[in-house]
Amino acid sequence: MEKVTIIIDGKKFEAKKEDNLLSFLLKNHFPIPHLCYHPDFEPEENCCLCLVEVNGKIKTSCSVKIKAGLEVKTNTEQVKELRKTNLLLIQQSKLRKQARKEFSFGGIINYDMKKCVDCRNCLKACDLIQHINAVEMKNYGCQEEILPTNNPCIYCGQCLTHCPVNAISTNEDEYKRIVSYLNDKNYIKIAQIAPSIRAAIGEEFGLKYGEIITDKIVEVLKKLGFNYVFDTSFAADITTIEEAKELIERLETGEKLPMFTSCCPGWVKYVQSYYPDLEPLLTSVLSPEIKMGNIIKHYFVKKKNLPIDKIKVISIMPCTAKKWEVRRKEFIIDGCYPVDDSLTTVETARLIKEKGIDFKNLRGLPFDNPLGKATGAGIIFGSTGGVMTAALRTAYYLITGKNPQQLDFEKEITSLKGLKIFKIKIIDKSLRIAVVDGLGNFKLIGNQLKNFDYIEVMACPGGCLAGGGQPKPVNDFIREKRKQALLLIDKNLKLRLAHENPEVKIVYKEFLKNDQLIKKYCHINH
Amino acid sequence: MDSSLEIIEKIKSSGLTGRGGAGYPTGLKWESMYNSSYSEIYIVVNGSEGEPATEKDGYILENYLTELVEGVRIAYKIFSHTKKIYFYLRKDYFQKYKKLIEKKTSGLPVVVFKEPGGYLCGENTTLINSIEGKRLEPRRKPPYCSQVGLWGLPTLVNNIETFYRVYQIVNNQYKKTRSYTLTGEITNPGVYDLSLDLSLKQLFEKTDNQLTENHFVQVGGGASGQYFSYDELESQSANLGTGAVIVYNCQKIDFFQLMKIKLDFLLKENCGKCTPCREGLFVLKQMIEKKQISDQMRLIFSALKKTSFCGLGEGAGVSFISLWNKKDKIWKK
Repeated sequence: MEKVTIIIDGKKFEAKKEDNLLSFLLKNHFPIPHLCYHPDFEPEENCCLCLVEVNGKIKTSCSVKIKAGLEVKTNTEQVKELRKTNLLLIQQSKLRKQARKEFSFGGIINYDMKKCVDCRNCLKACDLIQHINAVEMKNYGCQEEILPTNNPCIYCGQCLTHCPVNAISTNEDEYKRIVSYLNDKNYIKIAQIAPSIRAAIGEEFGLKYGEIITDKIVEVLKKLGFNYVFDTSFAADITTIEEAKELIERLETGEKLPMFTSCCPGWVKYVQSYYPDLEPLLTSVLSPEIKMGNIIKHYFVKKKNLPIDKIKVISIMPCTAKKWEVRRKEFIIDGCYPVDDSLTTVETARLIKEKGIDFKNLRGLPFDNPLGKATGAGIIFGSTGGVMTAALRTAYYLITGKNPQQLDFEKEITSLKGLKIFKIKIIDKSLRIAVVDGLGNFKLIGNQLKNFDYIEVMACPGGCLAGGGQPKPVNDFIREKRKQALLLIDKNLKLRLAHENPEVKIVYKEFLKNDQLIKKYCHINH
Repeated sequence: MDSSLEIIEKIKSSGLTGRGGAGYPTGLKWESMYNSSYSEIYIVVNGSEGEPATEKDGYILENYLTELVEGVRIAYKIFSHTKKIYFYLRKDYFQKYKKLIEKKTSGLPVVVFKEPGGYLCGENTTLINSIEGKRLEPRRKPPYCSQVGLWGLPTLVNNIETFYRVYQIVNNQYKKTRSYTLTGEITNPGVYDLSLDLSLKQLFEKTDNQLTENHFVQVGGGASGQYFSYDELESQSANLGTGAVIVYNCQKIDFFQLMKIKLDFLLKENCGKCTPCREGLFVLKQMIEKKQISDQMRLIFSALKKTSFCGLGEGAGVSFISLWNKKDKIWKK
């Protein structure tokens, strides 16, 4: 794109024409206050804090597109006075908001409207990203207020990650309840961590975007009182194998196509709420998190001779919808839930901070064994396109008896484009696939499902790596960094195919011995 | 009749500017739309007339409806690819003139539309949102309505008086006048068709209204109009905003009473989108109720003027600042 020269506070800068001025100023470390601006959306100019002088005129910098000849002043007395006036007004608005009530979606996502600053990012996330509109703006002027609609919330948490002031958060009481039994020595606490945690939680402690810190997480969870720490990616490898098997089966019978992934609970809730006819098309394979719970409770615990009534399995997830998933009654086996509770990345970071642990300087520990070893296939589940890629690797093997030479299939499969469509050749078969992230994009193919064999859907843009439970802020730059981290782990691993995981093989041999057991512990009980 | 280009040229050289209050040159607006390559457009005849103390559009509907419709026909002739023409009317105007307009516009693709909201609906982009059934608040500009308006198509939005003046211009009857609405503490209130080129003093003389030193005026609209003290009447042009002129008597109303009236109106009418309007007006009202005058008051006025999202906030800011600057002169101690 064309470069132009602009002047900021007397200094010359090269900038891309048409770029957003606020975004450019922030990238160049000008400390411009802002609340409502979010790079995922067109600017709104609601908070009126990002004021600058542009060629002598006061402007909200989020509304200015860069062009040649711009002379920007970020720090004049007038600018400072106006910013301060508007900031004070926002602060004073807390007083009139005292009478407002809180509301919650499913006891999972909490809206505290006393803290709301009327930026409307939650509305935009729910509308523009997800096309759900579970919230709406009612009334006008200082009476305006965000309230729930009758459209069911799918708990994706995109409103939460786009809220600049934590007016939207996960349920505080639930957090306290979980923390209280973490400190109880009578329980044996077992953690499982989702792949994308390792590429994001460091941000909460000032580490670089995309810095991989798997070992530190294991150690910190031990310090927090967990007796065992396992990798959800291990179960993702089993999901991959089972899902590849099911795909081949469905392709052979020609029934229940296209097959949809079901590891994203936001997507599953979306299907249940808005497209119930599609539910039979979801793969029957349980999500890695739920399956991991089953393996822990029905295999590991028995193997170790641990008292099942003292076991608490807690999943550390990048996701708010996982809190809904762990409560699904359909998953109960022999009277017990696979996973007792789920903490988000942000909640886990809070726990670490509350305990005063110096996370940055931890040396790290490996996962416990067994159930601690994952292949690259299980790791990339955290990115858009990851589940698809992992399943294709194993499907290729199951169909041809050989591993694919090109493990990534399509380079663009993990791109942040929202909707990606490919034809994948496996010998003489041409598999028609789609990868969707951000539910608004699902509507783009919703009426042409016949054209596909296999579709991956993740509710959050970018997949789990930018899920509703992940650290804030999030934008495409950060999504890309986290994604690159996961892809790098995969690339550097010797084992990148789920079916080659030696520990998975042991679990099949010792636990998932026959189809009946596989059905019981790895598939949804219809 | 002249060709389209000749008509547009005629409007341009007449110097006609929009009579809704913002004053954008009508000829330029029409020309830019004429030159755009869209195959379909919309026309909106804006009869929202939400600015307090302005009644001129109602006056034209009552007395010059035929001429107004002729003005709209001229636009339709130029923009023959118009999909629909919306007569966008304030609720009382809608009730009173719907049938008559439909009768007089037979043959034109006219929809007489009842304004669903209040003051803000007169603002072009809010008006567009309201016809589309969206939340009643302004959109970001650019794009302007003439580029992206109703349902994404270029939309020609002009005030009722503007169409009426177009009729006059094309028929060589335009005498560079505008409709002034005079209200308040005067003996001869009403709508007057008078020269654009009048001082306030001349306006009151021509309408046979006598003002005294106790009087002060608000010019351009009851919400966004600026205030002038008695000794400014001679030097100040009467031609501002919507052409509304409100006369007050400083012995009958004090600063706080006046501010309360204005704030009550704006608090009811603002959309809530931007901080200075949503929060600023609320805080101002609290100060006025407590009869506090503080520096924050002045700062909020300034924030309204310079940082609001749309013309409502900016206009309110301009209006309040003028009152603030003149209050000691108006209410001499």
